[in-house]
Amino acid sequence: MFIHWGLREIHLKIVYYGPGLSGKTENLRYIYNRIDPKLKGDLVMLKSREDRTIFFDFLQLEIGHIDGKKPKFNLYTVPGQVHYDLTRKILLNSVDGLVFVADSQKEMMDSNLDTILDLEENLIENGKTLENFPWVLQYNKRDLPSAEPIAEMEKKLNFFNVPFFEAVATQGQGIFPTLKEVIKMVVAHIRTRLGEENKVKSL
Amino acid sequence: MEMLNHSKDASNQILTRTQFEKITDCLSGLAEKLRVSMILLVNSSGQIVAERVSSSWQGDSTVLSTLTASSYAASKEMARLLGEVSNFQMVLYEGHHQNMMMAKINADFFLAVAFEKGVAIGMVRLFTKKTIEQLLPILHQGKEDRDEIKKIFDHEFQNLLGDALDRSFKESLE
Ligand SMILES: Nc1nc2c(ncn2[C@@H]2O[C@H](COP(=O)(O)OP(=O)(O)OP(=O)(O)O)[C@@H](O)[C@H]2O)c(=O)[nH]1
Ligand SMILES: [Mg+2]
Repeated sequence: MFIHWGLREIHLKIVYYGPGLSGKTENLRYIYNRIDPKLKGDLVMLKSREDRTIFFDFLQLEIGHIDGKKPKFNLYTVPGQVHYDLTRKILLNSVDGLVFVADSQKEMMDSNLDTILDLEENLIENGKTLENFPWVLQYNKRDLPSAEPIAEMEKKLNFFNVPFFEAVATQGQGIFPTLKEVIKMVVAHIRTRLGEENKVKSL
Repeated sequence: MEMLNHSKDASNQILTRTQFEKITDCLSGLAEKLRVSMILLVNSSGQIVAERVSSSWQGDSTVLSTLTASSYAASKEMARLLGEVSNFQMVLYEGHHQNMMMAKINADFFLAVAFEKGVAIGMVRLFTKKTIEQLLPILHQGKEDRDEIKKIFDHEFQNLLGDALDRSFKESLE
């Protein structure tokens, strides 16, 4: 979080994490293509010739003035391929909320789990943990015939009982609900952390 | 239990209006001394704190600041692999027409200065260094203030944000 009070801006950083090819870039691409042009900046994609993310994708969204403040959401995707571990660590710096994009294909369950564990390790290095952090699970590629049943995925991956969304990123299914939920969780998390609930009024 | 002030990263910074004005003055001062195309003061996660951009530059500074910050973060890892204890003090990009220098202010902030090929690098280095000395005490005040953050993220804000998200993201589906 970064608050630029001179410009009344509130910056929140949301990172899309997940194994290689799970559909992280596809999430950002869909948001970019669908959202009102007034609300978005450029979509930056640092990728290889084969369209794999090698550093990150970036998209900044705004939603206008809220109560005199201007929230801006900085969305990033990480490169999912195993050997980009250091890059993923760099991208987690100052993260406020996470979307874990899991690949629903049966044969991908091990790499989904490995990647969650890798995420938790990297968060711990940053003084955070999945157990107490705003994040959601997105079960992507629900359109594929080899998709694992949701109940199974829940059992294997959702050990902290976070909100989950079924998605088909290539068709835009589940993309905006995922983003909306994680943003709401980020704000709720900041408020709880600061004990706002006990305060009567402010400003 | 995660705690704000125990976080290792540079999260939760607030920059006040006064700081912003002082910083902008510093950058203007630097822009007057050198023929620069663009000066960005960026925090380590890529957000622009202040900028001075010449009228001829047409680029997107939000994107540029994000790219400089990631590149700067990558440099830090390179520095570490080379045995440096902290990030490079300065990173230079040389182009055919434009050069760009990234200079460390402190662990949380750096400057990116783009200038025409004709401007001597030594001058840029000298004046940037002086500007950094002016910036350090100003930025130092920009630490976390729980009470301020509390006021900003009040109940009203939370509700209105929820509505705005519903509205903005619904329109997008049409
Ligand atoms: N059938 C199907 N294909 C999908 C879906 N989402 C993404 N894909 C495809 O999966 C491939 C990888 O998607 P990306 O979004 O590039 O994956 P990524 O997670 O960014 O991968 P890395 O950048 O390597 O980490 C692309 O060919 C997408 O078109 C989906 O919901 N269904
Ligand atoms: Mg990608």
